[in-house]
Amino acid sequence: MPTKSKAVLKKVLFSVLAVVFWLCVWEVAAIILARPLILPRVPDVLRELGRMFSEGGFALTVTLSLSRVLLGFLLGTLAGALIGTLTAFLPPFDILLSPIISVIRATPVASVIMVIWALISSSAVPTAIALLMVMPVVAQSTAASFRAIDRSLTEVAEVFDFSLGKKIRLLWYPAFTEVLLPGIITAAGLAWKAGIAAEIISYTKNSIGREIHDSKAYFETERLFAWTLTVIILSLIIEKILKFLLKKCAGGTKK
Amino acid sequence: MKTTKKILAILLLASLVLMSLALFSCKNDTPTPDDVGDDPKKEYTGMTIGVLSGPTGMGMAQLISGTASSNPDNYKFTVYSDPSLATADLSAGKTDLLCLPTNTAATLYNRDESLLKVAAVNTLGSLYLLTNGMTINSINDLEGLTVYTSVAGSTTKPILSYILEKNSVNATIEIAKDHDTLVADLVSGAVTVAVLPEPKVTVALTQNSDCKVALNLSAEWDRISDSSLTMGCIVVRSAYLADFSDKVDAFLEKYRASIEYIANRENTDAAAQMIVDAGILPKLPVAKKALTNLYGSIVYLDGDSMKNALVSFYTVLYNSMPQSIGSKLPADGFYYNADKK
Repeated sequence: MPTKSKAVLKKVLFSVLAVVFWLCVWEVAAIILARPLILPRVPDVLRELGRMFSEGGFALTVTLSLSRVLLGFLLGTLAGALIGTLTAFLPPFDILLSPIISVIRATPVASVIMVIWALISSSAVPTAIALLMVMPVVAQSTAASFRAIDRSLTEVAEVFDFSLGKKIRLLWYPAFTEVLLPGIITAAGLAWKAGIAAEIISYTKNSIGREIHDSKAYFETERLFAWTLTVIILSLIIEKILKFLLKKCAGGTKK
Repeated sequence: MKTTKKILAILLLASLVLMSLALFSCKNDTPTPDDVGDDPKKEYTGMTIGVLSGPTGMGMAQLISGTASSNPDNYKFTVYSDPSLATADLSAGKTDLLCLPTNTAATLYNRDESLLKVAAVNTLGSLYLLTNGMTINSINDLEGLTVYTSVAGSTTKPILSYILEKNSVNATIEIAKDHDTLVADLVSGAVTVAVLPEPKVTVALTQNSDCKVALNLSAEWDRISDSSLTMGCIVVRSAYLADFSDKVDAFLEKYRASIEYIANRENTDAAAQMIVDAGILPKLPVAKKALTNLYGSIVYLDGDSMKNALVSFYTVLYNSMPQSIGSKLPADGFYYNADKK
């Protein structure tokens, strides 16, 4: 076997073993505690997860929750990129908008959800929350990317009179892939968690958040854990996909 | 290279050890509640009684105010606004008795039969159908409409479902996020038909005079069913009951007296004051109005009459929405002091 695939296999094996280890810790703790209302047993949770998969509405609920957060994420990234660019090139915008961006970024997620719910109180709340979580991070990362553009390269571009297209490819791309894209990945994780929290608090119809709220209301602890596991697994998948895309983007500038 | 092999081996070993531990404990799996039958003579230090703010707690008010002057058995009362905090304390053994909605009591028992028993029913129906800008004179007027209820986990949806079904009425039931949001939506007119429990009904009516009570769901229920709408009860922690059953019985007698006092129309003013002082309802006029609306609903049923009332109610709930009582009918062990021949 070539050494690269061997190393990858070893890495995967280790992570799987680590997960199994922690599952065993959970199971032992659940047995010792003997309080299924507070900590359910691992097989019960996995069984409930299987039941949820085969239930009619599972795919729809997951898809809708993902779409809500995705929409908020895309809008937030766009808004953030716009605002970030403005603050990077126009100092008055920077002075005016920086406090707002910092405030939104610093406010606890639950507070933001309460305020937004009071303002619009509809199924748009999770999307709005995802937008608000992503926007400040992307805005600040965009501005930072512009600042990270190598000064010496800029001078070279001036001297040799590069076209705009060439400037974007050779100057902007490297700075952005180093600063902005990782910022976007962080923001995506935030948007997903905050979006689900928004669904729980605002009890959005046909959402993962509502399922979580209901399983708590009916004391269905296994179901609560199963849905939480679903959210975690989806979060990991989203992260993996985004990291893959990042690699492709970064790879594309190696000229 | 050697170190990674070592790490791999350790992780494998650790997982194997843990897995065998888990399997081994599986074989001898008997989770026992801490103190059943081991200690014949436990020291009585006091009794902690939990009460939810709302109709299920109102009957306790006279007992609570009585303990201000004399409390020989060291009763401690806690008023909860959040049912999940209350049930968490019950689970953890911090509360010994708790006033709960009947379906929550059944669900908890079904999840963990060693946890609690139901000692008495304390609240009958307290659900009303309210309208804002719509005329509803009978159940049949609801045909084709969307009725809003609250909240997830309560009996409102299965009760309404059952009433609609028995009257052959087709209506859509939507669940709102919580009582207060539904009250706000009804008052603002965003929602025109809503089912709410007291005291939220009184709150809604005082905030908007256009809101009217169109139907009393208890009356609708009585028309179609022989069973009663038993909505609230008091449960006792099984471990505590095993240690101090005589103290629990004494308490229940005092509780019965308290309920009879609160439910007596002649005592409305004093009772309302006690309810507000105990923190069960926030404002005096709301308490007075709610008390008036709830006459006949604050009762004390124990033993066989409790069991019969609950079993018939749970059967309806089970057929309408099994999730609301934990997906099965509670076993006989759930009912304290029933079937005593």
